[in-house]
Amino acid sequence: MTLTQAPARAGTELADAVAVRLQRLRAVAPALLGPDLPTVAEPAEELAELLDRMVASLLADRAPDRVWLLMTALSGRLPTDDDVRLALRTLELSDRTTATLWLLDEALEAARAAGTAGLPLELVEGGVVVDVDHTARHDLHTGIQRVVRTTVPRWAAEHDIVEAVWTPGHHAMRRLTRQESDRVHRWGLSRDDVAPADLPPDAEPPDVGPQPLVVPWRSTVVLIEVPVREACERLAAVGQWSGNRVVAVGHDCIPVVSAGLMPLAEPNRFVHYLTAVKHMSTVVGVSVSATREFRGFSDMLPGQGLPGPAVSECALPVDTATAPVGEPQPAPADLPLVLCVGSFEPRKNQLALLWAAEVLWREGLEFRLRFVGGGGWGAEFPRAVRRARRAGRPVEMLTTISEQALDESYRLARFTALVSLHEGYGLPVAESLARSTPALVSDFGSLQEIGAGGGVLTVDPRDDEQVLAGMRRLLTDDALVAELTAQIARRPQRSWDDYARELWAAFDLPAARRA
Amino acid sequence: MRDPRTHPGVLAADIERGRHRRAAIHQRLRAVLDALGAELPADGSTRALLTAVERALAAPDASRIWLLIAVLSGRLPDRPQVLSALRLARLSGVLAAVARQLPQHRPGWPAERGPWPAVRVVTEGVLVDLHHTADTTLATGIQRVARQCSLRWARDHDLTVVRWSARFDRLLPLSDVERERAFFGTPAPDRTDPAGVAVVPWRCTYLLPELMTEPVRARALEALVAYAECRTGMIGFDCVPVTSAETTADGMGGGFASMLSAAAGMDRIAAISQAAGDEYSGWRTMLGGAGLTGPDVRAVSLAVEADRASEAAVAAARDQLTVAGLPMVLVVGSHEPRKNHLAILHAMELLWRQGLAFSVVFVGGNAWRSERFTDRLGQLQAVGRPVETRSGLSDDVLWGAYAAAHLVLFPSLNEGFGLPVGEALGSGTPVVTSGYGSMREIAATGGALFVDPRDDDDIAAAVGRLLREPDLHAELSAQARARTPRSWDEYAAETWDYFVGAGPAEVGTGPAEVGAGA
Repeated sequence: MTLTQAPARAGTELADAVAVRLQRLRAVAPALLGPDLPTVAEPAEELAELLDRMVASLLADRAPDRVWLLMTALSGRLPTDDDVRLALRTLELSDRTTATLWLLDEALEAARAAGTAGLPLELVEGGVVVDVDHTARHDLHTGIQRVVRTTVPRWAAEHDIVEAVWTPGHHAMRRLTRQESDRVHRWGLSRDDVAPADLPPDAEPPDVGPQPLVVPWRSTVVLIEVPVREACERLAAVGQWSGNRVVAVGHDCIPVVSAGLMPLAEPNRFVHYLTAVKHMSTVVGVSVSATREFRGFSDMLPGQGLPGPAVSECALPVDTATAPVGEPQPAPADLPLVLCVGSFEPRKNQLALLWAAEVLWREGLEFRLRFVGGGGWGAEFPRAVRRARRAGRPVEMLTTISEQALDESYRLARFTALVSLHEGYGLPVAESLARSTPALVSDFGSLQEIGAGGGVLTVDPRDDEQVLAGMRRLLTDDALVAELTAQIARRPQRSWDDYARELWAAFDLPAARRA
Repeated sequence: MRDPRTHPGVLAADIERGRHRRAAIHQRLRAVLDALGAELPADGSTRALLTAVERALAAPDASRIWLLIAVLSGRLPDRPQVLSALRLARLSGVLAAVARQLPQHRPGWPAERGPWPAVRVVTEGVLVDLHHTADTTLATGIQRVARQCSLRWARDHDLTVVRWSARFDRLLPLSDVERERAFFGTPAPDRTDPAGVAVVPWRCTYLLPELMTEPVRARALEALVAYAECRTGMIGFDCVPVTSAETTADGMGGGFASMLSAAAGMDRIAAISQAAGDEYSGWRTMLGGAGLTGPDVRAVSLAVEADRASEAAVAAARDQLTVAGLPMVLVVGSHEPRKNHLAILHAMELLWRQGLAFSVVFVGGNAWRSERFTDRLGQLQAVGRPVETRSGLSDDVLWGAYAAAHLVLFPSLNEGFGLPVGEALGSGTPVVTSGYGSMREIAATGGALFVDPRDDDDIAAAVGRLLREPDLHAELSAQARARTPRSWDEYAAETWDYFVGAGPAEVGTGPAEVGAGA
């Protein structure tokens, strides 16, 4: 930059900064000041006038939701509980000038930390904001992402919804880029339009300019995903102070109920999610079992003077009607396949299956065992699989597998096995039944629930002998397998359409598309 | 690769090598047989002992495998270790599991690869786990409860106090010095792990009257609770790390959740208040998803003793803490966010601006995330407000301060019990506290004004009334003095009766029972 250019450039930057701030204040002005807004020609003067009137209005009425909204508009960052309380206290003790200077000071620091200074703001009033942060920014397609990718497009077809992701560092929500939208709505369909790999979490979306911040007002914020820790304290403050409703799909409380089965990082993260849950208005569980967990948590809260969210249930579907069709094509010489899908971790109890399989192989039964999963933790299971393979056992451990290959495995399997020690739902069992493949599952919680509709054999997963007996029966008793398969055909029909519709209703969201 | 020592002859030969090692392993094999009620072989040879163990464990289950590992290795295993050994025993015979627990003989290793602490299987009586209490001179709420309670249990009953080894894989009986510190907080030299006796509980009673947040200890305890066939119980202080994570330091959530995993298999939890009992009952409801029923939960309210301060202590407190002529508002507790001290500073500033004359004394240290409190305190002091913080007061002066205060202010956001409320009322001093949870319970019989701690104006209004209205102050003081104190003797007797006195607990029947403590 040359010396002669510098002043002009600085002047443009200043004008840009004024323009962005003015845009944001204008966006929230009707909410804070009503219809009677200033008409000033000069942007900088209009900005000053709007701010002055907003501060005066807040000093006259320090309603927390209004304070939350002005802080958000000034900084471009959603405030935390501490931020809102500090502002309420400071405003109570300040005159107009002091209050204005303090708010600007705080906003400047917040915007600098959040990196959101240049982003315009879209106020979503009386609407539905759906947080699709993880699904939109990553290609992972396991349990929760599947629920998002089946539910959100169905909602979008029927209702006005605003999908949002978080800014880098999780300071605020913004609109999706086209790529991100494709990951939610067209995942796996039009790969040309979809980014090939995960964006680094902190990368700017490459294809378009910055998307506007999404700020809900008198709206409902819907969480189908479990937000990352950094977003949780901001979401808690949205629920507590902003006047918006926050509602969520309750997947499970495994990290605090079964902490002994996982690394400490899991419960350490999850307890912060529970902080956000405390200030939600509604949690809708994915199963009776998950619902009961969130109800139990809600019951823990009166001791701190909080009512906790209303908790209800809307079970995920076992969609036997609309599963993709396709014929398994087993090679004739292949051994019967036992399939086990799920991350490799002690909670999934794969070691019990492997032990039972070893006993059965020693008895002379012929079958092959395929574990599909990955992620997870614990060295004992992979080591045990390697040992079994060295001993010549037909066991596989697949960590990357295409959707199509997984689909074929489900169809090909004689039965699937998920004898997990704790599940919020157990999607692999639903996927198995949707493809008419019987399953061996645990005799409690959500797995037992799914199985109640028919098509499964239940065992106590903490009793290896029962797991062994169950596997033996499913491998040797053709009549049993036929009977379970017949049961699957008679299961009550419940589709993803049903789920999406019922979930929308369970959140008490507006029934019809707005004009 | 298969351990050649699964063959009894090879394993026996291995055990025979090294006199010290042989004696230690024989002692342990005999201890396993003894605990299982199996007959000791007349021929005390290694082969005979191994054969007897093989016979006693012919149909192994997880409990007996836990015992086998705990005794043979002298270390308490976690669940995965137990399951792994059980699967091995079922596939390859129990001697394979035995061999895995015994380090192979290595000629020339010191003490034949020792040390080999004697292992004592405790099959009756009560073990009380005071690991952390025995290691600290701290006397916060939890340590006070653990000490007051276990001291009286020990006075009235036979029991063994234990702690864990540094690696949390052994239970060790306390030395005399450690017992002193466990019961009285007496300063003592740092602990070492002597090669003493390792205690293995088996079909006896295990009680945990302190908070456990060490994950490794919790995992060993989880297996003990699941497999040692003991009657088990613990004092449930609160579930704050799970229900109010925003107010606790990072890492507490995981540590606490690990303890809950162990607690899930216990028979009984004595919660320190109805509110804490409600928290544990809510958690118990959550266990259904894991196919667990969880322990029986009962509220046994903590003691609130009336420790009337001496004239001298009151005078000392007045001298050290009050500003001449001003009524004192006393706040007791560390400055962590959960205690809501920022709200107090704001509410008091509102009252000072109204022209009320009074001083505020915070007794308690800095804690996690107390920076905003310290900043705001400094600002108020800089403009001359009579407010100060004190820490390290003697018990005497603290009791004097309770008596000398005009009122005690305790608007905490979440408490398992809220000791300062009880201590203030026990001293005949009115209290302003939160209108819910344990704080409301403790003050339910009078002496307090209740506020919404999330509403600064509400806090200010209540304190303002007690400063302005002498009649109200007198009435609440009278109510406080009229309270019936509850002694630690009563508390200790009720918890003992619940854990031990009432016979074996019915595990996993019926809904959680949360009755009021008497």
